[in-house]
Amino acid sequence: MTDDTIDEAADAPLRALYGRALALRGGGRSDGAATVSCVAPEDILALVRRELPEERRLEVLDHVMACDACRREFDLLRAVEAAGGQAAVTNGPGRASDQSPDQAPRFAPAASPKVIDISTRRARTWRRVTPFAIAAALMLVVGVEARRRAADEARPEVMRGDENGITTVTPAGDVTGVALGTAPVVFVWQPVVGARRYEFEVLDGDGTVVYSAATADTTIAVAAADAAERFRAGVEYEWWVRAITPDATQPRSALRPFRLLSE
Amino acid sequence: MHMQPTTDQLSSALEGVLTNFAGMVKRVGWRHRLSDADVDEVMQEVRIRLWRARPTTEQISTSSASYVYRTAVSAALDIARRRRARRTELSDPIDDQMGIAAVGGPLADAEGTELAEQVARAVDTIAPSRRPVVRMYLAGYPREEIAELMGWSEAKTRNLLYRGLADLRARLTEQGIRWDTTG
Repeated sequence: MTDDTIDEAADAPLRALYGRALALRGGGRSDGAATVSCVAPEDILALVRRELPEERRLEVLDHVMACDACRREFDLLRAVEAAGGQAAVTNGPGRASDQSPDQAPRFAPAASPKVIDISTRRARTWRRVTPFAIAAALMLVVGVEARRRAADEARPEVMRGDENGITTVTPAGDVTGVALGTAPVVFVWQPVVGARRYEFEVLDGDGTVVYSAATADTTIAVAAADAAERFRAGVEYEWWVRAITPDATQPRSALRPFRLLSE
Repeated sequence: MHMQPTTDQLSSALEGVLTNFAGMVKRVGWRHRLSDADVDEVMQEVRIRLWRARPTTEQISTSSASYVYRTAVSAALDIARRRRARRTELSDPIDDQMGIAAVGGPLADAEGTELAEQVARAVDTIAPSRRPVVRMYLAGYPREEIAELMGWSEAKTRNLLYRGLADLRARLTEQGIRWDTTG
């Protein structure tokens, strides 16, 4: 059997049809089952890291490749693993002081053999990104000061809320380089422990609500077309967010002014 | 708006640490249509976590690449969990936008849709030992990456894929669909 028995060019239409079927279903198997439990995110990560026995790896992969949602997660985790693994190889394993109470429990200790092993394996698996990783690691070491100056107005400010409030992150103040209608406008705030969802509003200078939404996430992305319809360049707006919590305290952020500038 | 110097430095340090890492993730994910929105969502989560866990500019600036990497993996897992939880909710602005994008345009072609369904159903009938490989191949992943992921040799991967595609052709033929995948 030779490589000629599998012709990727001839299979392109087949691939397109398969991709169409998955996109239409938006996840789940194509055998007619309306709902199939997705594999756990941890299993997808284990698949990416090749930590599962082969039989289980095949099961997880079979679902991931039949489920659009899980495949997106697979691609994202794979990309993060590849980029991070390469950076870790170049930069060395993290220091003990790098660990924070927030993240450390979910992973092996920074200097553990497991992390080093993953990084090494990623070096073999994703060797094609090595030049990027080397360049990026060097920039991390020597480029922070330069970045600090270059980032200028595009960087997000952080506004801490009051003692019981929500801290907003971005946008704030004059946001430059935003061409309304060509990119989403993204709002980010800090999570509130126990929050079931967040209610979000953008107000114009008269206090009129020009956009509102509810989400379980700490991010709202106003689609480019929607943003072009609701916002005007150079006009100051204010946004705020309120958390819906089981204890009904409903912590909220302060109003955060911002303007979208095209230049 | 004027920013306080401390906030200014903090934000700059965050961006300095994250910009390069985000660029790497995007480059790696580009080949498989990983959206910038997905990457941005992870990076926003990482930004918040770094800001919360490392409150000074110096601490952020000295974050090692491996620390950012571990934080990013943790953030990606949490985002995946949240998305799963959200699927049970009635609506979500971000997901709604993605849904609209996913079902528009060419997907409205009814004939093509039916054919796509037939292909997907035929794939479901392939032997379980070969089916994941065929799925991954049809999803656009090169054989080399399939072999790496599964820890298989190139020859084994090629063999299983060839047999799986032969199964698929047979199923399609049974359904009256002729599909020459051998060029």
